[in-house]
Amino acid sequence: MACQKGKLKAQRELYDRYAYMMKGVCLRYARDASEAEDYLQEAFLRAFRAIHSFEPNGNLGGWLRTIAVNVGLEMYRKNKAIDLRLENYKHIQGDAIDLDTAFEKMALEDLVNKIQRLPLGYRTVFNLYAIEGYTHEEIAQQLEITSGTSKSQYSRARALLRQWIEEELENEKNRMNYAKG
Amino acid sequence: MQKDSNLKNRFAEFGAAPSEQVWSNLEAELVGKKKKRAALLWWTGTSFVVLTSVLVFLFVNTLTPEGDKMSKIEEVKEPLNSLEQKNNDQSVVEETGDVIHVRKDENAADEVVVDKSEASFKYWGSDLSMDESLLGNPSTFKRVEPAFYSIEASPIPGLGDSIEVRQKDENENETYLIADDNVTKDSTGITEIQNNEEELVAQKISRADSISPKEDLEENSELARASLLPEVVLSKWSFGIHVGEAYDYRPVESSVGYSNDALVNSPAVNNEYAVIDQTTRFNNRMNVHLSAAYAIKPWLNVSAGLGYGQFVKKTTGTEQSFNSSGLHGHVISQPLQVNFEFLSGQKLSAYGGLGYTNTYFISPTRTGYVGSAQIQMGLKYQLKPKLYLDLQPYFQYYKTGNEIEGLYGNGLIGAQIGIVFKPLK
Repeated sequence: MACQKGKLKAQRELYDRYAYMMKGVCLRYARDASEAEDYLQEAFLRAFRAIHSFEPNGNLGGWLRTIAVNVGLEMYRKNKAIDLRLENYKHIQGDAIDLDTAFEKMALEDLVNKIQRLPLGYRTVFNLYAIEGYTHEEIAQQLEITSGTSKSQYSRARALLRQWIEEELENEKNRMNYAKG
Repeated sequence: MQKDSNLKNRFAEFGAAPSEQVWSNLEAELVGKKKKRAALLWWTGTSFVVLTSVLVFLFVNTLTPEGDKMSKIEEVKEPLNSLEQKNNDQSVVEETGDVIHVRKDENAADEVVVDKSEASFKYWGSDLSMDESLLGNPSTFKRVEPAFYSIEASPIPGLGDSIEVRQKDENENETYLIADDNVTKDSTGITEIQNNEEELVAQKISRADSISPKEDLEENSELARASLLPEVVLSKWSFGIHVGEAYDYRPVESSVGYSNDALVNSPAVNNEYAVIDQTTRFNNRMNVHLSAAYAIKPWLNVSAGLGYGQFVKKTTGTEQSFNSSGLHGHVISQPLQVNFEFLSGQKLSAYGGLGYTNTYFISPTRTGYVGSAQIQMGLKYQLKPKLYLDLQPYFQYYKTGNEIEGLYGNGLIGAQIGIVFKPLK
């Protein structure tokens, strides 16, 4: 594999093939598109450095995706000390709308924007549990937290997303009423 | 749970096109890495070649700093007084290979061993007393005629084959020179040198049937040289081991927090960044450093070395909250210094100089080579005849334009203390 020999052209080909998917992963772990591109760059750098360890018959897309998730987790570990925002959302509860139905109806870009707005811990746990498919025990091990914390953060992440969606719906309703009125 | 798995499936196809800037940055990193690797090889290779060249040059110069002075011998034996006497003695200088033997005639060697105390080496512009330890085997210098002594030519082939044998008269002011370049030949093939009326005529013939014990001379001369050279060479060298600490800092402006994150109820909620704070990063570097220095002049020396250091990163300001202090990386340094001594007391001396240091940084975030110019001062105190205590504060300035600069700052202030060992004075 030319890429394993460090050929720039081959690296570019690999980048072109997987950057779209990788950025999608990074977007969910980052706070915004700019930060996501930083993650993406870091993920590809790591991939190119470690490409010699990749088995040619393996699932390259899955391998790259894992690297991108790991970059996201590393940023979580690096920044968790300032993740004081969690306290601000502890009061959020309720089940006014069916969130899963809302998720299904929402455009993914819109959902990603909301995921990005989540506090770091909520965001990471939500991504790992709801999208990557990890269990709370696995998440607890990765993030060095208890599984109870993982569950509560996931729950609060959902509550926050629900609140924002409800606020949007409410605003939309008001706007429509205003237009009619 | 079913709903979550739906979400997972929906996101399986989710993606976004990255901006061109991402690949540009990646390409710069990837190409830069190759360049850095090439630069590392280049610098290492160059440093090796330069250091080796300097060492070889200095070593060769140590052996033959000014032609063949190594081969010069000053004699203090009683001279012959007249030309007649000399002619009667039929003194013969015979050259075979790079050894010259002088004897009375062809049939009798009549070699006499020179009293060691009467000979002295002229080496590198300064007299070295030829005591027994330096002379080695006394048969190195053999008197084969009252006024002549067999001696060796230059120990380095091609760097001068002239031979000097000197004699002093009663007033110790008369010298006889026999040299390849100064000979004349008569019709019989005998070469003569006649400097003046009072001087000895030395005859030089080329004959295969030398009766002088050439092999012994060569062997013994080798022994003498072998015992002499290490001491002469070592007298120019000194070796040091130092430990030190260096310190650099860099104030940086860091953006921390995000308006949408509602961090600590920041008032700057309508802007992208909620908090901008000043952070200062400190790097403390602890070094250990081995060096070898060569004295070009008693007051001027060149030193090269190899150092290893670890640096500890500390931060203040907002960054402090998420950048823990601790061991941050390692450095390998190759300093090259030129120092001159401007004050010299009985025990204490002061020096100053300039240097250039190649430093290779290895840290979790970045790895690479950076060159730095250096200015240093120092105090050296003689603890024992061969041992000095050396204190050296210094300032290093990193070459600009290197990516390391952004992380580690432009300058470095440091000091090192160590022991310098000078095997011979």
